[in-house]
Amino acid sequence: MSAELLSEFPFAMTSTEPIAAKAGKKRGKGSATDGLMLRMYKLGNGLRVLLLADPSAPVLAYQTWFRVGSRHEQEGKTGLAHLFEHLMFNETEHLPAGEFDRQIERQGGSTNAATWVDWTYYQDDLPKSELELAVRLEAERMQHLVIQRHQVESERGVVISERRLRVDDDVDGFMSEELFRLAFDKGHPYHWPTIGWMRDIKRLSLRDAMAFYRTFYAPNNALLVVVGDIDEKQTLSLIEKHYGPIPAQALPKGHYQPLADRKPQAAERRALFKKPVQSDKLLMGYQAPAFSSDEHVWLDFLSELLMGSHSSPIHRDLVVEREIATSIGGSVTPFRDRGLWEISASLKRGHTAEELLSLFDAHVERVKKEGVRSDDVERTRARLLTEFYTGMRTAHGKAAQLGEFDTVAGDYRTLFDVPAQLRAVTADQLQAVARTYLLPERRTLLIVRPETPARRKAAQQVERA
Amino acid sequence: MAATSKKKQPSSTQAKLILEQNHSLPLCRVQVTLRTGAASDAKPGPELGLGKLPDGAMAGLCNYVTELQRRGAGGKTRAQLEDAIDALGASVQVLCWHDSVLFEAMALKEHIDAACAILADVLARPDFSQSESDKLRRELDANLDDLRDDDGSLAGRFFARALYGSHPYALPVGGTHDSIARYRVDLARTWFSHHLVAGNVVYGVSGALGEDEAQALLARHFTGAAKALPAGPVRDVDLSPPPVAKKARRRLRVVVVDKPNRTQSQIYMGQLAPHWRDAHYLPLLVSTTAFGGTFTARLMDEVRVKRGLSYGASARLGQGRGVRGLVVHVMPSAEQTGETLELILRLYREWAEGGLRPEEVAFSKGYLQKSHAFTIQTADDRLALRTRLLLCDMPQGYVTDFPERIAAVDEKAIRQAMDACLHPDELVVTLVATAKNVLPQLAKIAALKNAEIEVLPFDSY
Repeated sequence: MSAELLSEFPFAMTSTEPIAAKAGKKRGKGSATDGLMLRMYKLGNGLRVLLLADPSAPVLAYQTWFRVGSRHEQEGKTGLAHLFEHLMFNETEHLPAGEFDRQIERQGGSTNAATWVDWTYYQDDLPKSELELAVRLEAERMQHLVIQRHQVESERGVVISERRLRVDDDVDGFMSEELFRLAFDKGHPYHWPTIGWMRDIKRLSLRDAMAFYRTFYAPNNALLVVVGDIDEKQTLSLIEKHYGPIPAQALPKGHYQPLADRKPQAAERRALFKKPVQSDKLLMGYQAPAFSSDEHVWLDFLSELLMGSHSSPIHRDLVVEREIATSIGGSVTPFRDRGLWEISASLKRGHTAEELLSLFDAHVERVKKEGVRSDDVERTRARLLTEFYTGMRTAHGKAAQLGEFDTVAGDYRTLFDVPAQLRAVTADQLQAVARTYLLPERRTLLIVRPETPARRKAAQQVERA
Repeated sequence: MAATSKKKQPSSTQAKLILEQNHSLPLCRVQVTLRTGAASDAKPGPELGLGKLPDGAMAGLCNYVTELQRRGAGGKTRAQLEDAIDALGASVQVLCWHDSVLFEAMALKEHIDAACAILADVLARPDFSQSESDKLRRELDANLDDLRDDDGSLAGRFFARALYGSHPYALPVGGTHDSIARYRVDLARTWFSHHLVAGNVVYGVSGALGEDEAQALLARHFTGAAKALPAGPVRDVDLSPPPVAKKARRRLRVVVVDKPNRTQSQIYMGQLAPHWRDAHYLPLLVSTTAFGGTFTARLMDEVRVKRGLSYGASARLGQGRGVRGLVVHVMPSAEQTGETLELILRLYREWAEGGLRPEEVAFSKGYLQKSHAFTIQTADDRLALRTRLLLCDMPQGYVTDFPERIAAVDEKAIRQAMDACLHPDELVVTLVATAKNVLPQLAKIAALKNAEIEVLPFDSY
């Protein structure tokens, strides 16, 4: 069995000149301007492998990206993708429980994993000498995972603890969960949180976990990304040896296809909560485009322009000059399907979320009517270009960006379009995207307000009674 | 391609510079590290003319002054500085810790010269405007409100005060409501003139600059005759460890930070540890790593894997210019707080008294030796480590010979370090929790029978 070369592409990072121009217009045939070349292969069982030999440090990043996330769950079984991610660190047919982590850490490595709506990925960072260990262990758990009832119970407790940490006792986590619950109707996979509703986490079973594994953890649903001080031929040969025998699986019909278009939101949605916080907090989300769309680039750029730095007009107005907020920031969800442009603000004592909102709206209306200033566009462009290169400093950082772009946007090479896309953004595009997306009726808004001491005291009395 | 660090003696006109090159990305980082940090707030010094003040009265002063430097400098207002920085796509930041303050510019290579010009103004020519001072004080005050909304940060703040007591590390870097009210522009100017002197800074560069380029950059903006900081005496801070309590008075101390409606408790538990330079430090590092420094360590195994009590369970040994803590962190549910605290108290005692199994020692040594590759993976990492070593009077060779130092640690040295340094009867515990839910659970823990238990409102500090 031999791997098929699907594509190759230069990893050109030492110059800030437009990369697309260097690589030539035709993808996959670029010259190795820096001597570093990305190559993607496909094994007979459908496993795709992306390799980058980068000798800048004696380490390697080994990542497995599965095309499965919380969007593949169902109501009543939310949190399954994330709970399952935890279970992947347990036992296999040839490794006792805990041995996976022990073998990695014994060699000075570290392992972790993350789950979100569109993906689940597993990461091993290791000294360069330990490539074979990573290949052997990861291939083993892709094929031979063993899950026992007591392990499900133990990990359930851990996930409940994680949920309390990130959501129930964390006001920002709580607001984020409520925003998506309100913005996306019941039945839409973004309606539920990736960590899952507490009631569902408590009910997930061993059978659910095994069914999930057998359905989605298949070589033909995964991408391996290996970046670091590796020998490409040796790496590919090891991967073929250990993963080659794993059979492909039939994936569910329509797996990883775009979601059906939903009806546009017709009216603003709002909710108010009281919590033991010191001042008002505001979180809102406008319906936003999918990650791979050009409009996503423009809306993300606009978000950065308006709030991303100390010189951004909304930050300067509300945080620096008027001093009504301690912070304000925004980001556009990097999802395969349409998500949200999220804006969060923390108010100073004595100021209300409504006060901030009316000023924010005035800024948005100004952008829609008058556009943005060209010097703001240039400043944002310069900042985002620097951030792009900053994310590429480590083997881990490179592998994570490549993995995410391939999984979410559908092609790792689109990562290298980013500098050119940033250079091409115009003030007119930003105004147009504001007019398309920043519509009051497409907005969902949450306010958390401090509990009054009297209310808190009353609540305590009730609890004591 | 590979990052290199040339060893070359500086000529008489060249500044002492820590340089770590990496030409694989077009990024550069220039750092000026001030050897004075927030620890200096404990005793601000008679030169500030503050008279006699209660302990902690000027907490956060260092952070206030150095942050104010970034808010108007070289004749440019805060807004003009920020516009100029963003126009370069650069970042210019000032970060204050107990041991030092970092002034840093980061930019693409083509913009690093202009970014350094801004950094040099921030470092040496701040405006200290009254209006920016007033604004900053209001901002620092509001930051304390934000901190109280985050249980982990809140627990860390109360824990540091309980652990370090009268030591400067007890003071919060960001100040308190009372201390913030005492900050003044004239104080800032005086503080600046006493601490921002040439002998009190360390220069560092990482990224896509060669040695000659880096030296020329420093001379142009920081060390050349026209731009240099004034000469002046270096005022060092007394970071001697706090006095140890007499044996008869030693007991566990528990601080419950009472916050309503908590479903989970943030627990920090710990004690003072040996200094980084102390002969016991590395043996204790091996031991602490085996106890709670990795995902498969004893603590994680008992708390998370076997019982599912907490998402995280770790033990860390701190390092700094003064003695730092050995700190255990767990986060159980409100209803399992007593069970978890009892467990980690027992595990700590078993570790201190029973020691480690040979395989745990071997595992920990292997992990520390081999994971060092990640500590020095990038030029930025190496610069950060070398600067920290210099500040703490540690040998620079540690960057490369750390694995050999760990290899040389034997079981006897580990046992000696544990006997000398671990004190399970004197642990300090801080919990952010809802007191009425957890106090009955604490009352059932035998190990806390003679403990001093204090309950404080979460918004009291």
